[in-house]
Amino acid sequence: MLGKLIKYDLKGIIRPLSVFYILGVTFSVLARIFNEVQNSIIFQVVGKITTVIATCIIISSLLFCLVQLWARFERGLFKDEAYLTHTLPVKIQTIYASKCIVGLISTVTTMVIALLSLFIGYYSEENLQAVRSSLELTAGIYDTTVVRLLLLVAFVSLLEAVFIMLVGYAGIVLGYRSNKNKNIRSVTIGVGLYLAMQVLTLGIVFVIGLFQPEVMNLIKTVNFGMDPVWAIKLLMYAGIGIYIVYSIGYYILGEKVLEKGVNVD
Amino acid sequence: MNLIECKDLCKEFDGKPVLKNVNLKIESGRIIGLLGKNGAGKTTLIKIINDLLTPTSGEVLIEGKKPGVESKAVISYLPERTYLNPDMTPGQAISFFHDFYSDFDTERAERLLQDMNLDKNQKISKMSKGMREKLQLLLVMSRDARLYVLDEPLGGVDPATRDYILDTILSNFKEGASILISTHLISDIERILDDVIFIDEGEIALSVSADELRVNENESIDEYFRRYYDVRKTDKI
Repeated sequence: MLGKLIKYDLKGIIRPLSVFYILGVTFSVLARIFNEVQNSIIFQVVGKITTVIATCIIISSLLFCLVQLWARFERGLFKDEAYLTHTLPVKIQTIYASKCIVGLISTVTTMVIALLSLFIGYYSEENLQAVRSSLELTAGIYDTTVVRLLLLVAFVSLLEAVFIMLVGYAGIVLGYRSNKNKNIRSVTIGVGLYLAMQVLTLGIVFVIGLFQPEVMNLIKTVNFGMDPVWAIKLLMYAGIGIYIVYSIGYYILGEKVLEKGVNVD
Repeated sequence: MNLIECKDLCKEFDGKPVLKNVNLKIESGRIIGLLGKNGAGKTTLIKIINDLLTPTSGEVLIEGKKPGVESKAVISYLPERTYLNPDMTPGQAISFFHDFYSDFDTERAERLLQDMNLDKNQKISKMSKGMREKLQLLLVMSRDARLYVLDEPLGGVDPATRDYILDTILSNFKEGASILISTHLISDIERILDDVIFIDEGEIALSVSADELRVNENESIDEYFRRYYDVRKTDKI
């Protein structure tokens, strides 16, 4: 049943997102074509405009992906479509897992399409060289390879996106426990949960700093390149661990609240 | 074993009682009318049976078990609103039901789709309200369920279509199954009812066989219903 749910949930989310994907890639191609023509002022102006539009679409596609995921989650579990979702002979845990897996897949897809659009729009030998140099420099500072660094950045970005998605889901699930002002409650609880976790993270880092003076020094005066590499690495890995724990925590929270039963509008 | 059993079922919204100590038993093979005025608690009771609402206290048992995966596999539910994804087409909706309900009869659904003159490839978002209601009805009645729960299937439909809907329900439900129909349009459905349940201000006012009610009161169910509320109104005044 999970596979079937994922299939239908994916179909539902990819349809609106594909509009952004197509627009992003199209404007990136246009930007690339117009920017290639060097001897025409009109083409250069149009090239700049299409570059700005492409960049806006790429950024907004990431935001739109999250908003769509939340909207579909709310519609599927608490609005009109919930009348079908909750009457399917499927466990609520499976329905929730499907929503989360589809969220993960569509976030990765959106990130990949965004990177592809950026590559199409901005690729040139000089740009590639500049990115490579800065990556090699950063990788050298942190005593790692460029591939590892890229993988780490991709993983952290994905983790942050998944965390925000799950916070939103938890906000909606908790907001809909009430019978009044469900939307406002969902947003308020979601934002509150997100801020609470940020404060908690700072608290954890502060506690680490109490035992590691170099970490505390790093918090007080951030000076990348001068600070001890091990302290930055420690913070980075601690951050990853903390966000994995938060994400699992919010997943379980959402699941447990749903298990208690729903009150569909 | 009873198909549905409600034990001291209560539901409150923000402290306001909507269902008050509902005790009810529904047997297999019956067509039951859940009758009452708007806001009497019919939809709330149906939503609890379908696991769409959590009771404040008491419980509902479907074939002896609490609402869950097993009960959902045997109940075919028609809500009073459109619950299909508007981006789907009727053809995709049929595939969806076929994927999730093992008792779904695709051939029957396609036959009903043709009978109702619905385009298999038209998007649901482009359909009229009446067409959407017909589509949902055909999906629900294409299942070989043990209980069909139909919430206001005649609401907002012209009299000619009401007859067509009732015929569709009667000619497509599985033998031995029960139908629970919630409505306030009693005169339209009373001819098909085996039992009636009156619900009034969240309480079961009457649960009786339709024939027994007609014989004992010497009037139609619709007339009894109107008289009942007239008396209630006078009592309140």
